[in-house]
Amino acid sequence: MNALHTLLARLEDHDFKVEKRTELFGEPLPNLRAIAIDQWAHQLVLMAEEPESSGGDEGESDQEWRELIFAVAGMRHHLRGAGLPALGSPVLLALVDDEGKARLRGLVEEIARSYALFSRVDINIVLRRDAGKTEALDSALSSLLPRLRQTIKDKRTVAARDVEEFWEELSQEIGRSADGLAQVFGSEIAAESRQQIWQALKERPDDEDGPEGMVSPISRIVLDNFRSFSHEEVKFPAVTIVQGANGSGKTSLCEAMEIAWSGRSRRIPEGVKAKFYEKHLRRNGKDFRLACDLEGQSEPVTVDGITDFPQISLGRAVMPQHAVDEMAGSSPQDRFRAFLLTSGLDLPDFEERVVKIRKDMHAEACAALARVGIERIRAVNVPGLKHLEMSLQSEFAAQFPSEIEVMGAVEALSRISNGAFLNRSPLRAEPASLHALVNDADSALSEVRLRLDGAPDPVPAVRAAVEALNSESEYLTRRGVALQQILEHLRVPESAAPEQEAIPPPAPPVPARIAARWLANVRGIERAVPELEAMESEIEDRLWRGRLDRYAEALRQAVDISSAQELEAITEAEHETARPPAPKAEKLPQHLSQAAGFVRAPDQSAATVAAIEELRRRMDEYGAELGRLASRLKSHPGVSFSGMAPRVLRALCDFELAREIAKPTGAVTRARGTLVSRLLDDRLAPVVRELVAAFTRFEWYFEEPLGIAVEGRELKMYGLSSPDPDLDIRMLLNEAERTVVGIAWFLALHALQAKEHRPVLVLDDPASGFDETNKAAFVATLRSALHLLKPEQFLITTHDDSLLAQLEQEMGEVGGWPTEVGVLRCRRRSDGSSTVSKPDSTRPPEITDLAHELRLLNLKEHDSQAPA
Amino acid sequence: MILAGTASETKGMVKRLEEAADLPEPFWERAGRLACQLDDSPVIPLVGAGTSIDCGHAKASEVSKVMCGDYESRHGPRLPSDLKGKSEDMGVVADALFTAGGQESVIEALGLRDPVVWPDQAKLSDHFCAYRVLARLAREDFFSEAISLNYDCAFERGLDDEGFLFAPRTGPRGAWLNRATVVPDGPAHVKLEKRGELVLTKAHGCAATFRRDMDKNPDRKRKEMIEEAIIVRRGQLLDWRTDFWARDLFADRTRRHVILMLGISGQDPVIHIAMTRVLQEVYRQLGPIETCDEPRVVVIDRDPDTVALQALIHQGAGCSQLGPDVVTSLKVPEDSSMTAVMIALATQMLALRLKKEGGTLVPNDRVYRLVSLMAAAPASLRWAFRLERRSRGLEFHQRTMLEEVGAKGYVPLAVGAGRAAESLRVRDQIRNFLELPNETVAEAVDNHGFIASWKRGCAFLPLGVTAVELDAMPSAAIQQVALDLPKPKDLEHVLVAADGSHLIGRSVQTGSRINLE
Repeated sequence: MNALHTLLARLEDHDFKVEKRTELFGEPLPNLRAIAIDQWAHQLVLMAEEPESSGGDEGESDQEWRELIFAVAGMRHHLRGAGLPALGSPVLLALVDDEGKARLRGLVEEIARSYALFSRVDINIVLRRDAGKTEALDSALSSLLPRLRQTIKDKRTVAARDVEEFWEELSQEIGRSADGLAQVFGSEIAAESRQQIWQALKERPDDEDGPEGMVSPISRIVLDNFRSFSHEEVKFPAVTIVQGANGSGKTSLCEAMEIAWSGRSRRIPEGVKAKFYEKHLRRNGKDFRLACDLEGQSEPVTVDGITDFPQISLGRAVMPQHAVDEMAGSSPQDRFRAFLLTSGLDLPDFEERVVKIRKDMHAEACAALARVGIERIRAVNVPGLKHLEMSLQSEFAAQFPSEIEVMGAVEALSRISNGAFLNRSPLRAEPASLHALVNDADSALSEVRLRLDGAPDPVPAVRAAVEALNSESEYLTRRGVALQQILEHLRVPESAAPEQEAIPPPAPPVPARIAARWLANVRGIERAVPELEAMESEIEDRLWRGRLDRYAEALRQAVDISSAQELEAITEAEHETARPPAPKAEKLPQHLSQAAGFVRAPDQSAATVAAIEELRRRMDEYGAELGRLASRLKSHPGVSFSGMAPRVLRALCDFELAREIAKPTGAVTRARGTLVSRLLDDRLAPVVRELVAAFTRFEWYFEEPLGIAVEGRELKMYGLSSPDPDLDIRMLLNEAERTVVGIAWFLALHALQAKEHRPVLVLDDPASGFDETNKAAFVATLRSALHLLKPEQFLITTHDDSLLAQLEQEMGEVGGWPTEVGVLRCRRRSDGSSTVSKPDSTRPPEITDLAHELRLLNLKEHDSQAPA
Repeated sequence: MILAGTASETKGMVKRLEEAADLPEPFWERAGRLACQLDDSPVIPLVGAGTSIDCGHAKASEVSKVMCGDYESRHGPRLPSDLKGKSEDMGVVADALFTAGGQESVIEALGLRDPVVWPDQAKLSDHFCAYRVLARLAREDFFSEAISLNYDCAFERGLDDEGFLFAPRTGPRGAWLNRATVVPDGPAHVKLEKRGELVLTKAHGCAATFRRDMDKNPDRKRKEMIEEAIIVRRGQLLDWRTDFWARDLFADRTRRHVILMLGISGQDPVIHIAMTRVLQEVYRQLGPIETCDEPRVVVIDRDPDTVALQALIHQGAGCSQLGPDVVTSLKVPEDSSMTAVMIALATQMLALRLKKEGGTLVPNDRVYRLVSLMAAAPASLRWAFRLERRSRGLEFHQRTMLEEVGAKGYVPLAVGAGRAAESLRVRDQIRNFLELPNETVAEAVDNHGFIASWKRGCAFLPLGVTAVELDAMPSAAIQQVALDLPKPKDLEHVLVAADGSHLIGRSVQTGSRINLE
């Protein structure tokens, strides 16, 4: 099958009636191969093809194309009868190869420099190589709206019921988020949290109107004190073209219809309350009132106020001026939001509800943590964990005893005792320091807290730490007691000698008997000295000779100065309490030395005693500190956490899941992204792309097709004037071009609804920035689209006389639609109030004569039932 | 009373032009001779009910029957004796009504208060084309005053259609170029100072003015005066005392003008007597003549052979023998219309004028002549007039009014006879270039003077300007003018001028220069 046949077959697939022709009105036309009539939109299509192997010169070929193009451009004039044209502006499909495309393009550009060619004919290039590819062929046929036809035929919609898909997707996404959290909290807790969050999300208030409330045609509206209208009654035919200067009341009329349908205006700026906005609707401060006859209502509907509740369906029925730029001219985020709201895929309070759930869960998690002694939590994520860990570490570090000082004292004693004092401690074996011990216990808690994997119970670790601290404390106590005893042992002679040196005792009167015994002792000492000197190496006390000498001398002095009674008393007391130092030193128990940490008994030197005293003092402090630490550790949050763990973990998991789904990359966004991507790819984007192409006469205006993609909460649109997907069209296109994209979006969204949901279409001054070519493309495309959609009521406003003329010409009744067309003019009275009236005209209403035009084309009248 | 709903009577300009084209060649020749007669004479059209009836207005007899019905419903079936058998005589029926209920009941029966029965000019449909022809002749300065005996506003509608604006009856003089002044009653006539190109005197009153004045005046006495301004009763027709202004008017105009009686029976006593007396007086003063070559009364009517009309024609010829080629009446053929006859006459008058002014031969073929002068050339001139800005040298108010007229209606060929002739020459050149057959009336009118060629995708309009002038026209001005003026639909519009044998075009839509070779 050659390319032409494929093209014709494709048109037949789209319900075009095709007939092979090489002439028109009895005159042969170069390159013409066939004509086709669209049975839905009554669109005339001509197919032309340059002979594949013409071999002729280019000049001749150009002339042939030129003749054909001019003839097609004048065809409609020849076709129309006395009334309005019945068939739309002809579409010329030129089937060429790449070389032919370049040549034809050049030729058309040249013609278009002198003639307003595109206002009378739509020239489309179809590459021969594309003929075999359905997608490429449909793209080439954009101006015939094949995808829109298919969409309507297949009754494809983008509707609120797609929200159900969103809920399914959201459920799965929440499941995936919960699975991720199960690694932290455990699968059971994560599953419970998932259930909890899902329930909270699914709860929505019953809404009788529903987000997709229906609108029905308005046949008459009475405006009282509404904006610039004092009192005005307006009757609408099925198709109404409203013309008027700026500020004449066109937009107010559209707004009145919007309010009559929904009690809501889309002109309310974001963040402004309805009550406040309402004041702006009143004329001269008087209460406004709208009464309208709605189809299906026996009584007129009266509205005298507006509400805050957004009526989503109106977003696809009424296109206010500002909405034209809503899609193409706003940021990708705003675009995404606008799309969701307009399409009905976003529940009005869904975002607020998600945020509320996250806040609630946060409050619950904070409350649970507060019960276990943790003040606040921001998130159970990596930065959150670090934060918590650091705060706990600093808390403990601040309370931790200084070990350095103790260590210094131990070192000093060890040095003085020539290594006799050992730095022994059960905590020093492993790990190496008390810090480490406490840190270990703390880490165990932290780990449990922060990772919350539920595996180790923190209590044993804390207990072990407490035990270790207690044993260290006890050890220190034991050692301290031993040191104390040693100190006392060592301190007796030491303390005596300085007293004797410092305050010599008064010489008491010594009785002869006692004196005699003391003198005998002195002599005994004098006798013993040689013996002691012989065994001196065995005596530990190196000062024994001095002590004995001092003792003998003291006895002698006492005998000399004391009375007999005093000598007797001293003797008795000495007998009872005083012990000779040597025997005591010998009696220093081995276990005491060991307990105190000495390898051998300490000497009695002052330095040793001082060092032991210092050590003893510091060890006391250290021991006390350890005791306190142990007691703190006993009341450590981890211990209480042990009992609260399941609840805390659950609250944390709830919070984390709520936070996870609400964050910009979370489950809600992903679920929406998935849904929107699917809707875009399957249904919406092809239609939008096609409408943009049709509105812009794509072949001659843009190089790249419009790209539409969803990333997170962003709806990206690129292409058209640049192939780079990183460049956004809002910064590439001018206002009119953005308007084209905006209208295409709106119409696509309007079309992709069930027929019963789109009985009404209102466009408020959509094409104000278009040039003549764009206006022609806009009107031609709008005409086709409207014939496909057949709305029960269509209203368009414009301030532009030439657009009005074109609309009047194109909106005539063909194939039973529209039933009635009327023009209304808005203007201001001398008192400033607006009025709407039919234009003064004595012309008889023009009618279309489809039969006449078909007869001229030698075609039979067909059944014009559109599948819509 | 407008009964112009009947399909057979409701014909637009195209139909009327086609009827004119269908008139036989001898008729055209006769019309040509009449045009020659009228060309240099001061002419005043005297328009009667026949003109409106020809366009679809109810006949007086039909109106009379309605009034009779009204009388019966008010005063019972017993008709006064003098009304019996005279129910189709409007004057008699009106007299009976007047006797029974005063002038007010006459007005009521006539239905003048009802804007549906007697619509204002804006509400009238556009098939009263005879008045459009008259308006064109007025624009071409063939006459500057007209007298109508009809209450209807069809004349005003015709003036409006062809671009006349209406001037007030008082105000600064000279400021009302290209405007028409409507005189609806005696007081207005008395106070009149001519302030426009055309004065239309409605000698028997005007339905719209009557309604307007009645609404303004609650005073009963004043109301009665206004009611009396509507001349309908036989008694009024005969009452020279109240109608002295009309008598004077007719006497004065007859003395100085050739009276072109259009659809008028000549039975109105005021007119008949006034005209007869004045014509007798004129010819008495001039002295007897043997042969009359310039008759002072010319009649266009379906039946110009009635005694009353023939008497007037006879008086207008000075009761003498007519010259061999002299035309005193055009009888409207049975299968044609008064409008068609007036179109034929107007075409011949224009051809004569154009020939004189432009020195160019107009097409000999009567159909082509009709198309050229009644459809093509006016369209070309209208565009050229708007684009050329010839009015630059005029006073502001004059310039403004000319702009308004150009935007609204007919530009007289006499304003630019040279341009008109050139546009017709280039028109031939374009048709030859496009190899098109002779243009039909419908083609020219439907295409608003453009030459449409679907195979070229364009419609061409010769402007009658030079190629240099066409090139110099600003694109914006062309597009602005194009917004106002009618054009064939669904085609590119190309304004054309000839540079020797070369045709140069300017696209209205793009402003680009287009070489037609």
